[in-house]
Amino acid sequence: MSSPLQVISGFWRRIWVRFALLYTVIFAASLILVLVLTLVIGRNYLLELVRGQIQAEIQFLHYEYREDGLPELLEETEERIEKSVADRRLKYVVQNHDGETLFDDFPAEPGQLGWQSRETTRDGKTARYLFYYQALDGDYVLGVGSPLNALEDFQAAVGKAFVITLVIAAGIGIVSGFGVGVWISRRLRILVRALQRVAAGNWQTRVPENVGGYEFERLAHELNRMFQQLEQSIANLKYISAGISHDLRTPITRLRNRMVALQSRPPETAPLQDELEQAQRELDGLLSYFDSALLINELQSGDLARNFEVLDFSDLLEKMLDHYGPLLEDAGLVLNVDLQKPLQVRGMASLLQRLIANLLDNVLLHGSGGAPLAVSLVKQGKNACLTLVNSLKPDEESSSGTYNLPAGLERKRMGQKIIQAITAAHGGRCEITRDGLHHTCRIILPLV
Amino acid sequence: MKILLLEDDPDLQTFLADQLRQQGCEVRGAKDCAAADAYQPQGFDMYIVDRMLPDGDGQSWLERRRLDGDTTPALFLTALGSVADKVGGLRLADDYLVKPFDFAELWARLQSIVRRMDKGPASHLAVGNLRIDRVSHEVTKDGESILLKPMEYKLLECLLAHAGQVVTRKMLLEQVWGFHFDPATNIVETYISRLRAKIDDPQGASMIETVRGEGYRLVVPPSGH
Repeated sequence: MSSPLQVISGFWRRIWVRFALLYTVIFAASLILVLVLTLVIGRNYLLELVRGQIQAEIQFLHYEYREDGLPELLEETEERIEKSVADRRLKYVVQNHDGETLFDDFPAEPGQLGWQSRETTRDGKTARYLFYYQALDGDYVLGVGSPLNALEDFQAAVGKAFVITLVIAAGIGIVSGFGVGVWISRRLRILVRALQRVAAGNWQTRVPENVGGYEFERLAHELNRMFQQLEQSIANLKYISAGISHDLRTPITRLRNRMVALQSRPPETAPLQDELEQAQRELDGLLSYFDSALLINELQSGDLARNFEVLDFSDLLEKMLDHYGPLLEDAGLVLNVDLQKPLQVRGMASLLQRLIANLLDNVLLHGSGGAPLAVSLVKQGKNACLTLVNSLKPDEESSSGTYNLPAGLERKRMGQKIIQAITAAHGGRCEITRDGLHHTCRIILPLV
Repeated sequence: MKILLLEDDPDLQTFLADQLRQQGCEVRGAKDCAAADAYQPQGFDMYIVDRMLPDGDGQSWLERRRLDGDTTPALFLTALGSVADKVGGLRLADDYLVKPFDFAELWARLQSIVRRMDKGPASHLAVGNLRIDRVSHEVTKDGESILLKPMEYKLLECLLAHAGQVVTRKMLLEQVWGFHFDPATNIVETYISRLRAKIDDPQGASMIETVRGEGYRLVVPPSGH
């Protein structure tokens, strides 16, 4: 039974809850930022407008005063008050050099020159004004003021809009965060289910790669690659286990029987040389099998890649063909070589040597003497493509013995496993096709 | 040659020590790294080192010795035979031999190391009337030139360098062809056969003797022959 704390903790850990909250916080923070910017910029803009209007008025009236004197200034001011709209009209004050008010459109108040903020109360309502006081010749002072109610209206409107938008944004944030969270968690659930199936031993499991969303599809693709690798490793493990149970038990049994036979042989019989040599060959075969199994394991673990270096694959192939020349000649194989040079790959020379040796050994063991062996190494796009085409011996047509290397053991296709493992360790692939007696092996390795 | 044999298996240590003493070596045995540390580094001409020891890895032991400035030649003799193990081992030691092994091969490898340390490769190698010039790659028998293909020359050079000793198939594959694996086909036998055809007298016995179950040996004729 879960405690309430655990329930809350579990709820909080859900991805859609976190996304909903995250989106709400992000939306709210964005709105606050927009509000602050709007208020600062809008207020400054409106204030500049008011100041510009006041200064234009001051300049005009100052000009009137200079041209026609105080009576004309007072008359002009009266006219302008009458023309103004009631609420938004400008306010005017004229004072003499003794501080007495000569004209008063606004409760007069002795003040300093320049910009001043003033307040007045009418019908219980307080109104704020911005005034500019300008000194005139003859020690008169002209004051022009403008109401700031537009500015206050603007602030109130922005605040109201903010509250409404915040509520809407929070709603959208919760809904969209929830939506995104559900979208992601649904895809994650698909991946989790696949991983659970793999963990349960179902190695053939694959994740659907069309789940939507580039990253998820990429993740699914990489997971599938990993599952494939796991499946292959497990298959190889089973293969090697099966190989050990069959291919090692059989020759060991044979070896034991041979020892028993030697033990029971009368001492005066023929020398034991042949029997011992046969037993030694069996043991060498077992060691070879072990070595091959360990090499496959080592290749698949990826440990060897640390020792890879850039080398010329065509040069390596040329040397190996040269080494095998006498053997191919003795086997009556007609060698046709087409080499493109240089073709540089990243790898380990000893492994690639083994790969080529295995291919050539295969041709020698299973190929038909007197038939041509075509070896080509060419550049294909970003890869080096090594192709061996030969004909199999007539008795090999229905046999699965091809790539039954290393020879001497009963288990089939160990050689092919080594070829595939070496190719895969070098980031390449191996394609083997067979059409009757016609046999083609293609090794594709990425170029540097 | 004074050898420090670092091997934890008592049976194998006894067998190896006996065999090496029969070859005229002075052998000191150590069953683990601590026992090997008890010996002064300067006192030996060669280390034979196992990897998996009760108190650590023989490779780490040799690494410590190398860091201390000990340059005594060394050969790893171990059951660890993966490519990565060999690559790591050969960074410290002069050779690497994987168990199981033939004593003949171990002995040949030890001598090969000693030769390399002592004087480097000689410019000429000769056995009886057969002679090779390692600079010009010229091969002569009774003063007459024999034309060998490059791999045949390398094979003969390897056999001459170990004249009178058994050279295993594995050693030939490594030293002549650079193969660290055993191919399924008879590449060694094919080349030996071709080499015999070129250096042997048609009527006489072959200069290259097959040692059953072990390898090949270039026969050293009795002196004065």
